[in-house]
Amino acid sequence: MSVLSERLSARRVLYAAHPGRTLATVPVAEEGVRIVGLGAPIAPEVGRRLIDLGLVPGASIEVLRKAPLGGPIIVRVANYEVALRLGEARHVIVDAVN
Amino acid sequence: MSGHHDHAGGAPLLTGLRLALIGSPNAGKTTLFNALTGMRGKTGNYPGVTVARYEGRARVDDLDVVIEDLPGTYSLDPISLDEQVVIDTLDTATDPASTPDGLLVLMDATTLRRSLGLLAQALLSDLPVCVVLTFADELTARGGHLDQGALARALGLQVVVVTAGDPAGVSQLHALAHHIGHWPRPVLAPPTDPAEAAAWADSVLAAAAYVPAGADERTRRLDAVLLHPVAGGAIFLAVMFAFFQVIFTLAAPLQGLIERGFGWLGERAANHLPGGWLADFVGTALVGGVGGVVVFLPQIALLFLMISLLEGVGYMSRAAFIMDRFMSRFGLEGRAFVSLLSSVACAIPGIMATRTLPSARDRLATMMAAPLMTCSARLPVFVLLVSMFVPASARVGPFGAQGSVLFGLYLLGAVSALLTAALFKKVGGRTGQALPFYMELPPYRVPRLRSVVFAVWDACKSFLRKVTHIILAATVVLFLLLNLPVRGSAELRRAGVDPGNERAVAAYVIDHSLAADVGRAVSPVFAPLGFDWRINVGVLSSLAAREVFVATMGQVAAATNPESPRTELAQMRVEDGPRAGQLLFARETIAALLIFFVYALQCISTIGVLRRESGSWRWPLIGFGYMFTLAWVMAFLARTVVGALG
Repeated sequence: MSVLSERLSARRVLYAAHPGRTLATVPVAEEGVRIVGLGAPIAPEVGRRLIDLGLVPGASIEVLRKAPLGGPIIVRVANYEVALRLGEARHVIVDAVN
Repeated sequence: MSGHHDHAGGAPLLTGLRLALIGSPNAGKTTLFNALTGMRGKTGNYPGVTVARYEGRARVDDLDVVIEDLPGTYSLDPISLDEQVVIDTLDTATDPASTPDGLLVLMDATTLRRSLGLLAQALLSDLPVCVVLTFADELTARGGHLDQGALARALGLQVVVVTAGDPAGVSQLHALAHHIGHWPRPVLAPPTDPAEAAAWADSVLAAAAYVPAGADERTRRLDAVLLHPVAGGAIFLAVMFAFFQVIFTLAAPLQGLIERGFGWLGERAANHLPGGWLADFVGTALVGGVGGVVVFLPQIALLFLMISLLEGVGYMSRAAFIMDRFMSRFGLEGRAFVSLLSSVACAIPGIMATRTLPSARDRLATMMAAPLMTCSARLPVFVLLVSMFVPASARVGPFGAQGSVLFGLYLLGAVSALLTAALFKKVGGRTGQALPFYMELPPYRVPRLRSVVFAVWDACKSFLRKVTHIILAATVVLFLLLNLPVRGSAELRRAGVDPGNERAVAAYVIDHSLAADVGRAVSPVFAPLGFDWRINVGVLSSLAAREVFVATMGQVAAATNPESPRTELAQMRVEDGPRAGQLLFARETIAALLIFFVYALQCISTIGVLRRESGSWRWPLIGFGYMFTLAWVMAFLARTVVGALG
């Protein structure tokens, strides 16, 4: 393992304190949703990847679309659109701003 | 030239001052790579993994600059072995020979916040870094703003703006390569801890007076239709149908032309060379072998033309979004669908299309499954055997029985392919860690002609360069097996064969060839399936290409028309053993043969492409082994069931 990998894999993943509402249950087009943190059962390296995709605590996120039959969802976060599966979305803990 | 990727330790493909391109998948990396290198790329594999490695040379005055296009990524923090191998090349300690001398980090101006995270990680490598800002024009067009000078000051780095189609940024990068030792470095390395990194990104964006682009209106309107649960699905099916039609209907006449061209060339060679055997060798084995390679080019070119167009427009990720739920049932993701669909035309472009899959594990599972999709080369074999299996007049309900059996074979292939992929995904995991699924949906864009041309050119070139020798060698070996030892006229006459009768001579030569010896030697393996040595010779010859089975059986049966030997085959009888005197092509034997061809990897070209795309002989051998086993077992079952039904 390289020095670079060692330093990056040492990064902390911020887990949400309470298992609140998950991204998977957020309805399409709900405004003012913010990411609180990640759900504890997620593997640290997967959590770090989601963070690198822009799913950081404090970031605002909007669900744009849901595929039928439990398919993937499309969210807008960090000024771009990305598709995630519900499996990953369940690990993203969110809350409305107000 | 051959097998650069065979060297241990991941030796680079090219030498010179090395610059690596780092960027996310839609940041314009390939476009920049092509602009910097003038499309003089070289492809290989990273050591030991199924990840394609792209390097290209850019000549800057008297300086040799090698550009390495690293796989598109959102992070330098690996979560799989494949990512680890790629990222290790950035570390001098792990891999001094291919460590770049500097990094060009691409940042898409429209997704600047996310790109800053990747930049912070790249700075950890301690290599000189230069920022390449892309899509700055799109940012402005969509109502965003960015002060490039302020961004450079806030980062403490050189920032070069590159706009597709404008050579200014590229020449600036070329010039920068000369003084890589003097590239500015940030006074303080940016933080990597997620919370601190977010605060750092905020401060950089504020300093650069960054206003993010508004959502792309055109994209929003298009997605409302193209991703609509009903309309989107219908459009997807229409697009895939058109896709498939193009490969089949446009490639087929081109392939016919190529075949006729090489056939003509083979005849000319045969007529102008002295001596029957040498003429036959050059005409059939050499010209035929090269022709057998070139004949795949129309399909490869068309497939990559359409894939790069759909990819460049941005539709590919939408199609993958629509198919993801279905594919996830088999452990794959939406993007694997295109590869499997293409394999219905031919497994070779299908396997090459797995390059679009970011997960190497998915890539391998799809590669192992693709050859089971019923390719066009199986069709002549199926048509012949099905016509012997059920009479043309037989019906299943309102449908013709022959067509129904054929459809069933296609379905069997597709279902088997999906189940195989699921199995390989389950057992083939080397990392243990399931990769999360994420896929950026970039705004719809007009594809760059240059990038499309490059994708097609690169696919054709790498196929020709890396596969030709394997296919050619195998074709020659097969030809020798089928035609050696050489028979003189005297010997033919002694055996009661008229040397003037071509059909009789061909039958005699094959009956007494090395291939026939092989066919007899492997009899114990195939006897339980009802194959005799003559069918074994046909199966052996079909390794060159499945449809060759038909012509070989035609020669073996000394058929009047070897391309359509149905009548002669139907009259062949078993020569010896307990079934002596019975019809060779009994219903249960035909069933076994059909099922055998559904599963067996009877195609040297596919084996060659598997070798090239997976980077080692391991996967083609595993593929051949498991498909042969599957073919034998399933054929045995088919024989037993059909035999029991009568």
